[in-house]
Amino acid sequence: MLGPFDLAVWLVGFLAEVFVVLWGLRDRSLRQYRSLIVYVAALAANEILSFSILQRYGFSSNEYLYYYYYSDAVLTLLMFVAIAGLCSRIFREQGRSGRVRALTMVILGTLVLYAAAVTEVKHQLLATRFAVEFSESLYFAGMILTYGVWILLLKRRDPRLRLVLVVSAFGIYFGGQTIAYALRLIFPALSALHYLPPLMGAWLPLSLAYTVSKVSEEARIPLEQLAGVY
Amino acid sequence: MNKRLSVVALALSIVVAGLAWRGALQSMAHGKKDSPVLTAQGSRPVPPTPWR
Repeated sequence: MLGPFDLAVWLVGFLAEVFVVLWGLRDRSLRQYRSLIVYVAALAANEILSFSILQRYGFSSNEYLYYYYYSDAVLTLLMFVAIAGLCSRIFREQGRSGRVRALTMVILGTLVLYAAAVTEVKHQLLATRFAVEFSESLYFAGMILTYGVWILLLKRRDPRLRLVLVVSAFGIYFGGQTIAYALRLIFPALSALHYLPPLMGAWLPLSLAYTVSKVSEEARIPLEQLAGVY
Repeated sequence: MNKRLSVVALALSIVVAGLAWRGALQSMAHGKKDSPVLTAQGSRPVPPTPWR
């Protein structure tokens, strides 16, 4: 059953998502992060739908379970598009955005085929298993893409603070989810660990809320920090 | 400072990879299927999955 902590984390995450969307509508400089705002808006809408389904059918119901994993697949797809948007933005400056778009389409096509093949081999219910396989593969591709962009930004010593913080937020989110996943596999009986995925889920909109509201598009990392001199 | 941060990030990455590897080995040893909670999106609670 859900306790007050679960509901508090859920509410905080939802409020942060709404904040990011409203700030995105208000701040014109965030138009460059359109796909990211769409992803956060989808997260916020999904929290409302999840809550109403949970209220109606209960936490352990099949309805909530199925809704959770199907919506998870859609959200992972939107997250992948948001990360690809960040990649595209960085590569656009080098005149290579066409290549990023082509690469994104190739990755998506490959993952759809891979998920369909795994579903076929495992002889499981197509719709259910497909959603899970697709979601897992896409999540992994998004993670690799994020770390790729992170390394690229560090290597180029990109001074744009907002961009660096957005990519870092995704990097920490993926790292945290991986730790949560590994710990749950090692200690499956430890019930406290079930808080970790929602906590990491709340981290992403909270860090984005901080970045969009406190860091302007013009903010730059001081040159001495980029050079590693203090 | 940046060098120190890089060393910390590298150490953390090794710990994470080690944890994930150990977890995957343990789950395989027990014949347990992985649960897809790795992909958890948003702050909603993860439902109890029948295949875990």
